[in-house]
Amino acid sequence: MPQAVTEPDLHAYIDGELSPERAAAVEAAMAGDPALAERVRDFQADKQALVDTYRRLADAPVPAALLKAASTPPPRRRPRIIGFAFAGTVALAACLVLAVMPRAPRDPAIEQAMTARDNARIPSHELKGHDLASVDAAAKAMSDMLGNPMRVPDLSRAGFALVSTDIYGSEAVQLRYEDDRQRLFTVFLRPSAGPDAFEVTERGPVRICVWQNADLTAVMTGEMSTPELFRLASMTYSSLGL
Amino acid sequence: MTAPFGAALAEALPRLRRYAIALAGDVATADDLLQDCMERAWKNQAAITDERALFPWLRAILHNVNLDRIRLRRRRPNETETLDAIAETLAGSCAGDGPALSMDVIRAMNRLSFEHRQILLLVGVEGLSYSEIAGELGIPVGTVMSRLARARERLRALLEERR
Repeated sequence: MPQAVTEPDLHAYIDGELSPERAAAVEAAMAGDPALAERVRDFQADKQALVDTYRRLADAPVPAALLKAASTPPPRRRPRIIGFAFAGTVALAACLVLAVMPRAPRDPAIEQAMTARDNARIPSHELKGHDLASVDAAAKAMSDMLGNPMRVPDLSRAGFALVSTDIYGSEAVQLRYEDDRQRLFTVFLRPSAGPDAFEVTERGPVRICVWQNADLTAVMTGEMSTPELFRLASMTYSSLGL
Repeated sequence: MTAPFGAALAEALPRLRRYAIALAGDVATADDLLQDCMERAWKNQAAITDERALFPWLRAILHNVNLDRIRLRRRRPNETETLDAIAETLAGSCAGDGPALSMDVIRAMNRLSFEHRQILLLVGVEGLSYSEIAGELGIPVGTVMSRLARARERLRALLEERR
C-alpha cells in the first residue's frame, strides 16, 4: 500500500531531495488533486522569489570599511598600562622624531604601477602579443627579476588576453591584458617592497589590488567592479607559480 | 589556502553580506555582524586550511556572532528604517520593478522567527542540501524537513496577507 504524501514530502520534492519512487508518488498525488498541485506551485514560486530577491543583494557594493576589515588583519589592541603623562611624553617624542625623519612616499609600488599603466615611463624592453615566444620571454624576465621560476598568468578563462609586456630593466615587469571590450587589466610585478600585505584602493575610476609577500609585490589594476578585480587578482596570483 | 587569507575573505564578502542582510533583516545590523565576523575570522585563521571549507566556516562564525547579538538584546532598528535601507541597497543594484516586488518578500521574511528565516535562506538562497544543513546546524535531517515545512507555510501565509 503506498505511503501517504506528507507536508515534508512536498518540500523535499520541491528541493529535489526525494528518491525517484517518492517523487513519483508526490507527482501522482498532485495529478489527482489540483489544489495540492497549486500549493506546490505556490511554494516553488516563493522559493524562486527568495532567490531573486537576495541574489540582487550579492551584487550590491560592499562598504569600503567592510572590505578593509576583510582584507587586512585587525589592529592589535594596546594594553592600557601607561599613565597619561608618560603617554604624552612618548607621543611628543614620536612627533619630534617623525618631524626630522625623511618620509618615504606613500605606496611607492602603487604609484609605479599607475605610472606604468599610463605609459608615463618608457620600458627598457617591450614584448608585443601573446604568442609562445613573447610569453616565454616575459616569464624569463619575471624569473630573472625575482630569482625564482615564474609563469605568465593565463586569464583567458576570465576573457582577458595578454597584449604586451613591459620590462623595466631588472626593477619591474608589467603585463597588460585586454578583454574583447578593450578593457585594460594590468599586473605590475616587482621585488617585494615590504612585509606580507593585501590592500584594495582606487585612483579615480581605476580599482587597485596590491598583494605582497616576502618575495614579490604585485599591483593589479583595472576599470572594473571590486568583485571582478578580486576574481582576476586571485587568478593572477595563483598562476604566477609562487 | 592558495590565495592569501585576506584576499579569500574579501572575495567571500559579497555573498556573505547577502546572507547576513537576509538573516539580520537590516543592512546596518548585517554590516555590524560582518565586522565582528571578519575580526573573529582573522583571529582564528589557523583553524582553516582548506579553501573549500572557508565559506561554511564564515557562515558558522556569522551565526555565532548573531546569536551573541541576540543574547545581548541589541537594539533592532524599527521596520521602516530596516526596509528603507534594504530598498536602497536593492535599488542601487538593479533596475525596473524588481525592488518593489522584492519588498513584499523582505517584509514577510522579517516577520519570521530567526530559525525559520535561517532554514529558508540555507535551502533557497545558499542552495544547501538537507544533509549539509543538518551538519551545519547540528540537528537531524527530519528536523530540517519539518522546520522547513513550517517556515514555508508561514512565509506563504504572510505573502498571502499582502495580496
